[in-house]
Amino acid sequence: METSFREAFGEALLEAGESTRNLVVIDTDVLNSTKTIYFARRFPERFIQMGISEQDAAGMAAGLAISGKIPVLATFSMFLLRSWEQIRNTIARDNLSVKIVGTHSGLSDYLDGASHQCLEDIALMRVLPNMTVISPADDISTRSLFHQALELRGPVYIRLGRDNARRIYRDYEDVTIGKANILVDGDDMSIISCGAFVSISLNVANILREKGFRPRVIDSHTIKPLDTETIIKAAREASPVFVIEEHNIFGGLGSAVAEIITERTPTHVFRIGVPDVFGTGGRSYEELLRYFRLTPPEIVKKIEGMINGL
Amino acid sequence: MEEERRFLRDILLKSINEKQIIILKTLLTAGNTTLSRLLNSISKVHEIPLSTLKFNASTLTKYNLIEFYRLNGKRYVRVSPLGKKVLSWIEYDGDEAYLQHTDDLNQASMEVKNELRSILSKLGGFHLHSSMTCIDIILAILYHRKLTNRKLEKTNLILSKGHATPALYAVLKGFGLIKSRDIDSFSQPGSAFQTHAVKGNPLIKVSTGSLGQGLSIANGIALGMKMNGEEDYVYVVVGDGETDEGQIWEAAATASTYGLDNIILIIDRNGTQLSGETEKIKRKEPLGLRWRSFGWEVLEIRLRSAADVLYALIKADKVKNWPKVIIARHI
Repeated sequence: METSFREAFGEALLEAGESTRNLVVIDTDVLNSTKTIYFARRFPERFIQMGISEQDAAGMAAGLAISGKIPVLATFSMFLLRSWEQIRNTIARDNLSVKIVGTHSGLSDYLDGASHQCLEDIALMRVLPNMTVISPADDISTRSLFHQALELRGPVYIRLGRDNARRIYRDYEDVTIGKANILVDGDDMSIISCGAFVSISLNVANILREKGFRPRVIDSHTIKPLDTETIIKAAREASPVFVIEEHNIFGGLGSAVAEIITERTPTHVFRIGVPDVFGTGGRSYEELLRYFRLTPPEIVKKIEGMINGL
Repeated sequence: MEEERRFLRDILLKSINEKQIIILKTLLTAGNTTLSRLLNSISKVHEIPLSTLKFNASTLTKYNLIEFYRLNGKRYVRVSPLGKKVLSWIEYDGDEAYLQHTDDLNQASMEVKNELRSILSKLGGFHLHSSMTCIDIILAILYHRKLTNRKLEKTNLILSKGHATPALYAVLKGFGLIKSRDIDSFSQPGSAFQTHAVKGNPLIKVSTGSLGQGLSIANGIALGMKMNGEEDYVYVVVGDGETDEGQIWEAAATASTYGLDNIILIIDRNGTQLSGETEKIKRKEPLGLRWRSFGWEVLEIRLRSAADVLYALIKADKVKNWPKVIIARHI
């Protein structure tokens, strides 16, 4: 079933607005795109429009957190990075409970092209002390993880795509921050993924199974703190490991997984994602996936090639 | 009451001339100064012949409006208690509160500056100038809170120019909010007393050090306080060099958009930034006009002593509906 990340976020925010009275939402003139507009209509007195000024918005969020609010700072993930230094120097350094939601991440903003397609945010956010980094796979986990993030003390970065969220989970209880989910069990290889690429990974696994492989598929929605137990177990029981992600292959989930496996239980880790280039515009999300050879059949080809090269 | 005040003021103005008022006003906030140094500086700034000033000064002495005192072997001059009363009626609507505190403030200023020198002597004078130019601002803020019965411990002070944090330590010590041995660990690894502000120390609500960000954070606190129904100020001390940063102007627009009249921003207009004169590196002027055009109430003052800032704070206290900026000019 096709759902939408931003719609799920917009609705989760409405729910949270009812239950969490000190929640405030900060926007940088993109409320229609991020779907914070639902919150803005229902709770105008707790909706703060900052205009097109991401750096100022990050400072505003920090100040509101200091005054006892729980601010949700939501904008395009790409332009959030404009305030990376403010996030680093105030929100992360002072461990402030600001919930940062980056929408339109990865290739999901297909039409807008390279300027809008954020393939670097996981790398930049996971390097920050105190920061929790989450990339939900579908609408259900978006809602669930968002509500859980509100309960956490300290800053959280939630990476969302625009739409294209194929449903994977059934209940809110199916996902827990910090706990990776084994969606398909197997023992001759592991496929670890996050975000919208979890659904692609499931398709990849289907094709591989038809070819006689027995892949284990893991949704590592929490990139930091990484569920190292599940990942080390996978490396030991189902090697080699393939990490498939909608991010530059440098610094993302693949790097995080490789770091831990190299230290704890060395085995082959292959990173499949956007190969250290910027994005490009396309007429559809699928067209971009084809362009970057990240459709399930193309990924299967890569995996077979990597296995043959071992 | 209003009429009485005006009547008294008119009578006083008949017996005291404009030049004498200039001398009194300048002297009031001049700190420790000798008469000749004072008159020389007034002569330059106001283009009044020195002889005229000398004549008027002797009149003021004769009527006991100014008086002399000895300190460290030097003969200094100050406004006498009577002089302050007269000045308060002429200039400050009889608001004596401010005038009574100038001597205290001058004394405190001298002490905290000595403390600051001693703190920074450990580091060969790390950003000494920058701390020195804003120490009277910080001092005046705390003094103003004391004067208006606001809790010192609850002061929302954002030192956006985080490199001047040693000035804050010196003032905190002056107010007894930290102890000598606290400062002993200054600038050492793991110490809470870093060169740049770190959250957790008395009065430090947020870590700073990266320039141009303090006003945005202060706006957030100020807006949050309004939402919570809390009535108090958020003070932000910004360096003039910092106003190069675009974020300051994003924040300036935000504060006026939300009518954050609980923000008092003070710009330490000392005219220098790290590699030279501010106007040569990037133009700042007309600074007052810039802020006014962003919807702020602007109070421009000449900063000679903490008392100058104190009076500006008293004035700012009366402004409602707009965010307020005090531009404290050192020249």
